[in-house]
Amino acid sequence: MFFQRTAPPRADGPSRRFWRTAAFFGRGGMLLEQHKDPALSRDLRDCTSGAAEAMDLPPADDPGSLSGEEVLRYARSAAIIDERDGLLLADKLKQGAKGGVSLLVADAVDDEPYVSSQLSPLFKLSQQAVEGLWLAARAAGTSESIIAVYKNLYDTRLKIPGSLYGVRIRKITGKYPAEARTLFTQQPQSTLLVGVCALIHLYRAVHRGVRQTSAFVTVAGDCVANPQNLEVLCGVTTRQVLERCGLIEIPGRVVLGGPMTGRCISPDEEVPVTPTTRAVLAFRSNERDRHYQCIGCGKCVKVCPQGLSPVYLYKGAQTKNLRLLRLCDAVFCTGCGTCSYVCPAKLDLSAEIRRAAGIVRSLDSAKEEVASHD
Amino acid sequence: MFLLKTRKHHNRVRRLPGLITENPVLALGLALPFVIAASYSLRAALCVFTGMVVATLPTVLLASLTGSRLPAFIRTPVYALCAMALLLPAEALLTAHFPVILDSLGVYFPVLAVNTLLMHLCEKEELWGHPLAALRRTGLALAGFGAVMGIVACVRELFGAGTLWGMPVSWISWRIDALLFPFGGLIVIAFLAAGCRAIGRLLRGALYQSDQRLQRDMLRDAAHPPRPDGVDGTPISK
Amino acid sequence: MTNAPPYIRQKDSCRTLTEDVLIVLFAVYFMAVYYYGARAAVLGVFSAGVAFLCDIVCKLLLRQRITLREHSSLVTALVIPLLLPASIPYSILAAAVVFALVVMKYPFGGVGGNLFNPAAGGFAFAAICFPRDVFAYPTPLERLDIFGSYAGRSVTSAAYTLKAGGIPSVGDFVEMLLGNVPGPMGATNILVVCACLLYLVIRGTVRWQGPVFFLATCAGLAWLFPRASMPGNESVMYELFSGILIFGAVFMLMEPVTSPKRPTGTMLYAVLTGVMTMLFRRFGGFEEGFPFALLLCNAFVPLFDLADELLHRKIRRARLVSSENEKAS
Repeated sequence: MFFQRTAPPRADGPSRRFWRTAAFFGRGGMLLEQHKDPALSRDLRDCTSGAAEAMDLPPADDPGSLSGEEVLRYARSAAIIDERDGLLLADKLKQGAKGGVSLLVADAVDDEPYVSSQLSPLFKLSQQAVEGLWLAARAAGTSESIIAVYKNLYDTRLKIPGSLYGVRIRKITGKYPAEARTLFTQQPQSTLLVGVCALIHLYRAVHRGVRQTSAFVTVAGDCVANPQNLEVLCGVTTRQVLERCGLIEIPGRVVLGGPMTGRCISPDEEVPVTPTTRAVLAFRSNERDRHYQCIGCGKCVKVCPQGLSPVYLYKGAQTKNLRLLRLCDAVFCTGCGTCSYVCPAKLDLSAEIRRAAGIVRSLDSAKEEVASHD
Repeated sequence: MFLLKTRKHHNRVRRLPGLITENPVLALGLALPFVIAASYSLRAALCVFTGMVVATLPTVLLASLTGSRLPAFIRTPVYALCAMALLLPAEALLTAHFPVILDSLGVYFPVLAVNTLLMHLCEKEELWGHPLAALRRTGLALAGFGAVMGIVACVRELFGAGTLWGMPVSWISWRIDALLFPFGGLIVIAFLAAGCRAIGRLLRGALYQSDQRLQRDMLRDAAHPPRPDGVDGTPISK
Repeated sequence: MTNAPPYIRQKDSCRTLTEDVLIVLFAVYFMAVYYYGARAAVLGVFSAGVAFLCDIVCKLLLRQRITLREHSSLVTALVIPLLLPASIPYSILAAAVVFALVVMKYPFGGVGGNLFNPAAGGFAFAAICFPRDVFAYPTPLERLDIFGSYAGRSVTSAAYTLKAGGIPSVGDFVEMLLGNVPGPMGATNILVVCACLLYLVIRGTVRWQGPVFFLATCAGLAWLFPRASMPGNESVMYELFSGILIFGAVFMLMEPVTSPKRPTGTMLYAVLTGVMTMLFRRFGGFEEGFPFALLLCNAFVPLFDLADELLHRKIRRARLVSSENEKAS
């Protein structure tokens, strides 16, 4: 059938190499102004007030001699959650060990504007991060480990050294969304991405015997008086976090996560902070009711990093045209939000396409289930 | 729902398919080339309309009598041949009266033998075996076709050439030559179709509104029935 | 405002896109006023007024929201007078603008829905209905009455001479560049129009592949097949500078709604339009075939888009794994 879901990638033949070179000319993405500065250059404030919860295992006497399984046991008992994808660190390391990864990457790629809740702990608590990385490398059984940091043209004040305590730092430059995501996932079998905050918690679990009870968040935005990075206890509400940093005015919208892919809550809501809340941003609302229609300028097509055509996907989503959605590969959308960002008509391209892609995926999986039953 | 007037109107209109509800040109898009090519003047429109009637009416009658008996592959050629046979004397007659027009129509007159309206009506299985119903249906469709043809031809000739039936009209001082071109004809048909739909929608909307008002009045009367008055106007008390 | 991410947006909007084009059009109008007097400006204002009224009427009929933020009708209305001579009667201009908006744009859905370029359609309507008025040009730097019809001597443009098979005697290269030749109001100032093209390409309103490939195709065909007995280079100069080729390449060819969405499609579309324009110029009925060729090629744009989609599907499959695999790592 013509419109089937994509098959898993095959080995590189000559024709595939040709198309891959052709794809070089279509690198999408958008250079975003980062606005990281007051928050990143300030110190990382510790708002946990020393409250630490001990876990079942005692702190290790000689962390250097721990085996991989013992580190895994520490990670599991401390219930450490990776802040990027919400998975248990222990599960990820175990899967890495089983799958035989050769490269462990400490993910400090904060490619969204305002968010620096991975960069700040990396540079302010570097020793904890690097030792956590060594422990994780032992647990996952990898030989090589690097740290990945994103820096683009707008971050002039951020100085990134070449290596940190002997671990090489790989600078990723370029447009949002950071290419690291795509490059590393092209060989999913041999690379493991682990968040830097999770590594810091792993260090604390092994050296101090405490489980993860805190999270690193960036508090920034137009309405915040003192934008900074904080370490707060999980369960503290967003209102308390914002009050800690001071509000200049009542925000129009509060965003949990990055401004490109985060979740919006109303300013009165009190949502508890979790390990995966990487930022609490408070913006002024510029409520402008513009009702533009798509004028077909093609800017969304130019910036899509996956090479999709959001203009046709949006049309297909609005008219519920499954054939068009399948033809234009709706399931390839990663939800980066770049198309909505550049759209001059201020349409909600990304949200609509994600919703439509979800419907297509569930239809496909339902069809597969039916087929597998017969 | 209370839809007295709406239903009455709908039933009335439903009995004339082909004229108002299923107009072959405006709703079904049949026989468009003839409407476009021949409506540059009223006389040409009349010629083509005559040819259409002569070709379609007897052929549909024939189809209604023999349709169920002929196999599919032979039906269409038979209808085309029958229509051609009918068109020959029609063309001879019209050439005697309007030689220039028939000449300029070119191929659009003979092609009437295979026009889509004819084929559409001949293949309607509900008309096979019912010649009277077939006649009525064809008559209404041809009336619809003729109405559209007439309106479009009047508009195009009046505003495109400034004449009506070849006679110059004095109160038109400006002309839009583009209307005489085929694309102008298509645009006129499109606006006519949109206009008819708009009129129909407004009419149905007005009928629905009056139905709602009627229903409100009836409900109000049912809730507070007017008491019968006494001879001198005072209400009768029990 | 919306409740879906992203919560930051670029500062450009539809309004700034059309405002860019309006700024550039004002520059062209300035040159037209220099050559033809205040009548050029009044024609522009009149056209804008007619377009505003048509806008309101059509939006009321379509039950769309009436806003003053969308300037695309204004752009159409300001482009049409620049295609016509400065001596055009006001009634013909009004007819062209009304046709462009009420027949070419709003029946297809209004802003963002038109299949054909409305300005090209308006000009085509005027050219078919009133060919004598549309192709008779006054000499530049001649004083024209602001209101009322033109009573002076009309001359034919270089395009007409080319169509008749002669070599235009309109002056040398510099005169043609500066626009001191009889022709459509906005289309003779080649230098200004080229500067406008540069501005629009830099701002990102217009993709560069469209005008460059279109003009290259026209130039190539003009060089290979000169219409009169003249050397290739002269033929290229006369063909490109007579009529509305360069103006059309900037303002009409790359209208966002009717042009393809990807650069590859734009290149094909530009080449096809170039070929059709030169064919219409040589074998067509009017001396200026560009608007008709543009309308024809606008019909092919969805095909180019479909071809682009299929091509990029292949490229995507070679380059990426599906996002399900991405989630796993």
